[in-house]
Amino acid sequence: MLKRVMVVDDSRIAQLQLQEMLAGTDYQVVACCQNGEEALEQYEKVKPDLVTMDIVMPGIDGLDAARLILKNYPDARVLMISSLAYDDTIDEAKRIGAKGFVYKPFDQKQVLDGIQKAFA
Amino acid sequence: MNCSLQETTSRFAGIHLCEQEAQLSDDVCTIHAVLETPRHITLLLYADVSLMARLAQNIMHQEVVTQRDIQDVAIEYFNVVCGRVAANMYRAARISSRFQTPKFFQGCYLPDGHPCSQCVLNFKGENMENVRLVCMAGQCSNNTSLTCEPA
Repeated sequence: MLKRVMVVDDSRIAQLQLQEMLAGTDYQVVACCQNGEEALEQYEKVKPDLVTMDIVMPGIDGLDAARLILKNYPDARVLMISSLAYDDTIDEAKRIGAKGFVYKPFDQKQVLDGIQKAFA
Repeated sequence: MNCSLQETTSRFAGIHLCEQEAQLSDDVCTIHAVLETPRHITLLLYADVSLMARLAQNIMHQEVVTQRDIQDVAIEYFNVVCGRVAANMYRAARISSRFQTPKFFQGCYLPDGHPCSQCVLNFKGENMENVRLVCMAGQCSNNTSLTCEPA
């Protein structure tokens, strides 16, 4: 059965890239959100198996959105996918409970590796 | 900063930039972001639209791209560049920074205000497209109004 993925990224291009990379794999993009607020709202409705979360977004950023999702749904799987990738943000993502971090720009292998590790 | 731009451009879209003197064409766009550090750092990317169009074609795997495609790709591309600059800055000086989603402008723009210091890097693409990355440390903020200046 395909695992259901919710993509949270304010960039239409990043959303398209992820949809393209996951097409034909064991993962299916079931929802795309453009910001943290939308992600919180959609998570409740969609209940995905995994959330890919950008950090730099208008409004609630990805770290805060991940924190809130994991607070409300401790079993949620969140994989950060962001360009803002250095010790400070990576450590914070770990503290929050994110399952991993994929750096932008990403390729298909990096994304699939990150997702597989998040499910391990 | 030059490595951040060159590596990102190569990995993001398979386009190679060479650091050399560049003269921006008449058809140029600007992408603007502010790194929020104790001393705000403004990053401006001036690029020939032809390069941004090629970037969009490569990323979207399609020959025909719209103005919106170019704009969206340019913003995501510069978002990645800014992330790389922020990461390098953290490694070098342990300065943590955040930034908002970059803004796109048609034409060549300069923020108001007088930066304390400025660094300018010029690049050319394989098809002789021109790119200029400007880093300004000083008083500019993300809400700074932008005024037009000729290329």
